[in-house]
Amino acid sequence: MHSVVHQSPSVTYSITDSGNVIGSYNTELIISVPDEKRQVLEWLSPLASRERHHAVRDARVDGVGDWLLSTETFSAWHILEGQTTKPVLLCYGDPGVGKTYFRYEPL
Amino acid sequence: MYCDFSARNVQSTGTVLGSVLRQVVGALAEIPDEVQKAFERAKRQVDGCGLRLPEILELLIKSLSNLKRSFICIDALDEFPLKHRLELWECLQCIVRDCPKTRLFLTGRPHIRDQVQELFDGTAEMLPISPNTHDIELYLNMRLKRDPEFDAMDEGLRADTPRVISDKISGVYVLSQDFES
Repeated sequence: MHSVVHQSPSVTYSITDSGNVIGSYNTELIISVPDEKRQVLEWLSPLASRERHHAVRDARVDGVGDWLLSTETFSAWHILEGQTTKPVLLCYGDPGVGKTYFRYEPL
Repeated sequence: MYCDFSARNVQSTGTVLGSVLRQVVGALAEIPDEVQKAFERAKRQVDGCGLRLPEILELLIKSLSNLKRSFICIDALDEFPLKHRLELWECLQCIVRDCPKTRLFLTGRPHIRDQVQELFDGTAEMLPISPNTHDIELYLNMRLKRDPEFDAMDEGLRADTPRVISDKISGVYVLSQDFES
């Protein structure tokens, strides 16, 4: 069982039964997710990928890899219209060239 | 979703797609009926409550249909355990086939290129990634700004460092390309 405890008007922590504070690095997400949905999400999968995602995001330099977004290949792929577009895009390259650090934020 | 060689003993098709399913359901305003029902069923069972792969796949496809558009990104496919890889790829094929509003973004080392090409049979676009001078300069400038011994370099050296290193790296790359062709 999870419950959301308001400790002050601006700070919200999620406390487990054992009293451990979890998810303290992303309080916004916890605030917006009701208990019932959180239970379902926890049941579906643990949060491991989120931790990795935070590590990648923190190590990333803004602007790196943006050239990818302006390639024709990427533009054609990310537009959903048109059945002729190929739905899968594989970016391949040697270790360390920056494949993990691409970022795309749809408007 | 990040595949990770060091997590090869715990990563399976179920954990990868389960994580994607969690993120999709998390993005939806309401939990899809099918997911809610499966959750209720699992709660009633005494022994364990994990979803099996066919159920995860089915719920994922249903949940994706509730999104106007979605992008599934899987990093480092080549680090996903070899013994489960075919299974994962078959599931990805199903998703691509059944979810026209979903796009799949994959990354991996060059040796998986041909496998992905063959597997997705003409539905996959291939993009080679190589060191990019601008990216390297951005990164080096960030590192130089955070240099704990800032006074160890003068302005000239600080300006030359990104330029020289990125030139050398792109030169190495051109050279290796020449060898390949």
